[in-house]
Amino acid sequence: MGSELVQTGALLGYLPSLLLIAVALLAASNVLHSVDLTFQLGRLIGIGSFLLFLGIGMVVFTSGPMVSPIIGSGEIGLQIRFDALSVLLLWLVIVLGTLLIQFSRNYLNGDPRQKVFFLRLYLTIAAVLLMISSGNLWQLVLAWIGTSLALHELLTFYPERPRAIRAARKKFIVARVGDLCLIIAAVLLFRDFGTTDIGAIRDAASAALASGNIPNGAATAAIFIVFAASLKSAMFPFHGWLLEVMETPTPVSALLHAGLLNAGIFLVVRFGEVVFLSTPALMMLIAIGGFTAIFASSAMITQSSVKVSLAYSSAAHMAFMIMLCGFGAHTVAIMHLIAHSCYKAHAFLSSGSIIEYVRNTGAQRLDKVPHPLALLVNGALTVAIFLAVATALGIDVTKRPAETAMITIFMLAVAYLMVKGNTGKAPLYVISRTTMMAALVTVAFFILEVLAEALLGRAVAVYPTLNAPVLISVWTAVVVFAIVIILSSYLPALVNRPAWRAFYVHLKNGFYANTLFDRLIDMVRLAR
Amino acid sequence: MSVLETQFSAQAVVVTPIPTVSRDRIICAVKQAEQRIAPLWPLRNFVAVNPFLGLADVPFATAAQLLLGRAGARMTAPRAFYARLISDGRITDADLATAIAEHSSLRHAPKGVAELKAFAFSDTTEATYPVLPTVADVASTLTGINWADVVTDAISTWAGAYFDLGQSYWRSPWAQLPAYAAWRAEAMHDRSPQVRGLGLRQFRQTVQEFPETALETIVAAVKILQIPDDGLEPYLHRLLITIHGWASYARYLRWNAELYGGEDSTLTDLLAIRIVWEVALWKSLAGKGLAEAWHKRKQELSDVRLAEHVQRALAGDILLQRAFEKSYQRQLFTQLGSKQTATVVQQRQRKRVQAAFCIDVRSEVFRRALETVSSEIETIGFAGFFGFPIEYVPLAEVHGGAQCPVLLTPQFVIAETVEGKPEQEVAAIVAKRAMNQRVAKAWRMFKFGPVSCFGFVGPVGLAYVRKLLLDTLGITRPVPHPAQFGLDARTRAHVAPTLDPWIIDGRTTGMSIEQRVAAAAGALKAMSLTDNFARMVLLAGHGSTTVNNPHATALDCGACGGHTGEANVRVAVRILNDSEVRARLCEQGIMIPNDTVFVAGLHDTTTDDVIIFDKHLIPASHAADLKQLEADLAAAGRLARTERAVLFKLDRKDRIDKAIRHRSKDWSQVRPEWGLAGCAAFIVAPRDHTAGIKLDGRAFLHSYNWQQDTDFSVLELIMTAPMIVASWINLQYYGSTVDNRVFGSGNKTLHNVVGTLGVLEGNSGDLRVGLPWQSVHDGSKYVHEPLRLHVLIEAPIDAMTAIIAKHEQVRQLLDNGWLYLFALDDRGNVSHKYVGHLQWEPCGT
Repeated sequence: MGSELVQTGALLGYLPSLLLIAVALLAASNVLHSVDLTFQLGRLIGIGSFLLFLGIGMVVFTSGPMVSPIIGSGEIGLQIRFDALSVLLLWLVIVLGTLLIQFSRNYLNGDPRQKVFFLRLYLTIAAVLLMISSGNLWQLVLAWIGTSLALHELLTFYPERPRAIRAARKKFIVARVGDLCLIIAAVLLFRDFGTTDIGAIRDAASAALASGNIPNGAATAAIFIVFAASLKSAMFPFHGWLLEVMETPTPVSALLHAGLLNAGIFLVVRFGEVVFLSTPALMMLIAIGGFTAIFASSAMITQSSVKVSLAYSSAAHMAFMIMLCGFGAHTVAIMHLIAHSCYKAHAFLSSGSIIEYVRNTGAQRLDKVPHPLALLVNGALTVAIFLAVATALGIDVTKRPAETAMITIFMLAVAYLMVKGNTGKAPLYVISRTTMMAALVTVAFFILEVLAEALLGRAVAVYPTLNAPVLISVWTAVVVFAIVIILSSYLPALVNRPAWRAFYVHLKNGFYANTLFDRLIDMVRLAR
Repeated sequence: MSVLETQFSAQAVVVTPIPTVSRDRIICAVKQAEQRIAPLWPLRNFVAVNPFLGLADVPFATAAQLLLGRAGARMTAPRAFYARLISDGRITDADLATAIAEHSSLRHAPKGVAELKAFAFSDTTEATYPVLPTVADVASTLTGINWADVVTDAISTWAGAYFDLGQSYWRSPWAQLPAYAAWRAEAMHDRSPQVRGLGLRQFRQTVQEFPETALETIVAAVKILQIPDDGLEPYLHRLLITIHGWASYARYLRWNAELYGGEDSTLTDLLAIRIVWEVALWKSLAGKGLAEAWHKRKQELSDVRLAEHVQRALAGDILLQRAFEKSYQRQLFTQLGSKQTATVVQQRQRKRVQAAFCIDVRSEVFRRALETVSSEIETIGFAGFFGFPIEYVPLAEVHGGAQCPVLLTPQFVIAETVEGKPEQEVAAIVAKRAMNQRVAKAWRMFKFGPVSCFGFVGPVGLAYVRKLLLDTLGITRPVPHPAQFGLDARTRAHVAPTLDPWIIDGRTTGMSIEQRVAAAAGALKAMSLTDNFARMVLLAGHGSTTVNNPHATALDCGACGGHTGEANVRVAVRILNDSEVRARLCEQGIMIPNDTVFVAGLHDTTTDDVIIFDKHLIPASHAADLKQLEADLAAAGRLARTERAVLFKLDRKDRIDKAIRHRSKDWSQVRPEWGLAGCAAFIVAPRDHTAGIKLDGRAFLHSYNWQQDTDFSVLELIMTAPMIVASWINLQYYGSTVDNRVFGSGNKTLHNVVGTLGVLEGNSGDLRVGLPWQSVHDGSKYVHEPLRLHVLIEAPIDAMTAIIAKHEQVRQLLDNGWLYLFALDDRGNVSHKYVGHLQWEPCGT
């Protein structure tokens, strides 16, 4: 804990958001007339904020969390909390945000409403910064709702596009239900713990878990947190809107997929200690996350348009993180969140390069089915790589069961890479390259895992002792993931079987969840 | 709510086919409707297409009426555009008067200049006209649910997966079946229509009841829907318009099949799919009043008369467009007339360099700049494939793109090799590239595999921070350039085409000596370049440099089939420098002096840099010439960039070069260059008659000397190939400008590439055709002003008339007002204009 001065210094954290909002307001009221100046100011604030957050981060990582005094009276008011979690995410958002501002300059050049675009972008970034740095429930709830409302303005940037309006409306409905869940959770938490301070709530939850005396309200809050997160992060069957919000310029998709969608995972991790209080909540995370992860990552490979395919990919990654949260692997989830955001921002911004990408890697077509022996050998090789790397880095992979499960899933993924590279009479050159890539991925994985725990370990709850139902869920998920991996390896042999043909059609259509949503919306609209 | 719950009973609707509509009539109407659709080339070689290709047989004004009814399309710019031009004085009263006089037959047109002016300035909203109804449209109105969009989205989603050329890993298991059969098979499993509210099992049952062939399905459906005989073609065309993009792609498949002597019925399949949806909707909602509503609305199909105020608006708009073209003509003709060239072409002095560029309008700027830099350089305009129609197979691949205008088929297959390496080494490089591709593919599977994608992103995702930064700074490309992928830098420098025979995947590549000689002779004659060769002859193809641009190939060379001209010029130069070829050319009367060296170059239209290939093949005796030429090209590039900078609004003179080069590497740039925007004229004449005139990069320039063309075979070639291609490009820009919603591909910032073949605007909807809005408009004004192509040819009128009479396609385009033709006299002044029906009128200048 730093001195009082340092804690007051945390108020500096409001500066970036306030400046962005100020520029947005000046631009909106036309005091700020020039598009270019609006852009220049935004970029300047972005770069300045990055430096500021860098400085704050240095303080946090050297001398612990900073929590500002409440701006307001008593328990009511806004409050900032800088700890390892919020600082890492603030770095992420401000870096991506600034890059998106830069990107939008030329990308939307000539659009008569480019200034409006910038100001909406600034408001959204400001709201996200506020949400991440929330120190108490008030700020969290308000900023949470604020991000969604600001985003709504970006999603309807072209109001003359009926499909944009329809998609935004769906998102709006889902988001409001999510808001309600969060508010309920907040009320329950306040009732049981008597504080709105997030740090205090987490401490109280830890204590409750340790004592085994778990308040009912908090346990229920955990479930509502899971609901809110699932709605925010587009879990099945509420993922439909995510597939449709490409009706607005690409940078918005990048921001959404690399930024706002993460809010659900952030929420669960932020309240990790609370979520641990409820076995059903953990099981729900695993079930919802696990199912959506498999569903969305499988549906992804049936999609023929680049942005919809990326949207499915995002839903899958969100789901995977949700599931990891159910495992208690919060540090890995956050590591994944940051990595995914960078990857996905790039994927969206570079989506215009897909044709060149396909030319370089050849048209996607189903390849040969691996020989069972090849499957075994590559699987064994992967296990060997993992064990070798873990041993070399001095990591005990069997220490915590949930961690072992998590590592197993990553191992399965790498095994898939080995199988894809090393089958079908692969030349030695290909085998050695693939194996080297697999080894590098493994090394990177373990280093990042260790690093994430070192950086986040104190700010984020990790690996609670899981009870039997949760443990069973965890291992069920691993087994299902393994089955899916094996099936995907054998997909080329399966696709022409009648049942799999039918499954293809259902999967490609996302199990009709979105179609049903469309119909319901029409019914509501017509009933009015 | 009740509308959604559809309990259809088969008895609810009694189907009574009208006996009068015969099967033959229906099939005939299907053919007509299909013919109206213009092809759409896939993005990997996005060739410009005339969006009105299927309407060339009717006059422009008729086409405008027709498309208004069937697509709700506009064929002219918004009226305010013309009003502004009148205010600015660019359109004069005389222009308006001429336009009115020319179109005396247009009904309900504003009469007199004053009335037309008043029309232009009238702030009445533009006439809206209800487009012809489909069952889906009627159902939308009836139920309040947008069934029209539901149907388009459903077909588009299916088509994306079916036609996918390589984006999805798990492809449609029916992709090898014909489209209609594939769709039927999938429809048996697809629950979407049912979930959307089209009745339990209803949709599938409807599909099943139809015959298995597309044509018979259409026949049956037309009878069920009781389409009136005279409404058949309009109705079927209207249906195709609702899936315009995919229909256009299917039309491309047919175009390609027919070019190679085959046939393709995918387009008919799509029409069948679309009409099955009509019947399914009709059946499903018949009991809810759709039967009556449709019965009433379908009368509109055969009643093609437009309301008087709509006719007046259409006619007025066309007059304004015509007046605008008149104003451009005035300016162009004055420019041409201002130049006094000596009538007698004197025995010209031998030039230091002859530089041949593509007829592309972007070359005009560069050629003028190069001529400004040195008077010792003569420039030539010719289609950028330089008469070498080849298929170019890149290293380690088995098929290549057709590098010739899409009206032709490639005559030769040319393979890429690594020059100066022994055969085994080349084989090793090829094998390595293939292996690199394989590794990249395994990595891609890992990246995009179910579940495995999690293992990719976690450990690797963070590395994208670096990529994001470098791409933003323009230091790296988002993905490596396909031409460079999988090759190390040293190899890349030695990659070149080889003319020697080779066998790739069972096909023999290369050209025999006879073929080389014939191709060389043909090319030189067509270029009017058969004597007076300079010491150095530069053949400059062209290509663009852009990143992250789905429509990149639209900026490449149309004469090379949407590829860069690199392969063509490198092949051409290898042939033209060959001593044996030259010896044989001599026998045909084409004497290329021993000291003439052909040089291959590529004009980068984005940066106006010209790079020279294969310098090692240029003899030492010409080293100084080469050095001088490179200096001249660099100087010309600077001049050209300065001229283009105006359109980019780059005001800092000192930073123009840097700014323009940056555009070519900027992944967020939606206007890396202006392409062929502005194109308005096609001038076929010796360069002497246009040299020195600032044509603003708006004219295609084809060098042609009719005196050398004794049998007018070159003229015939020009009027049937380059002229048509130029008109296609011109009308593509025209269409994308006047109604981007129908003829263009919309907002680039929303583009979503599907199947690597085209773009959707947003997440769904129809495949889009044509050019993005950003390619014709800079945000405040049109950079491409809609003008139909003005073709000016210096040749005897009789010769042109004979060619027009001989080629129906050319005649249609001219007689129906899709382009204008003028004759130039020996001084390069406009002497006659073609007025249709093989008639000419003198033009006073």
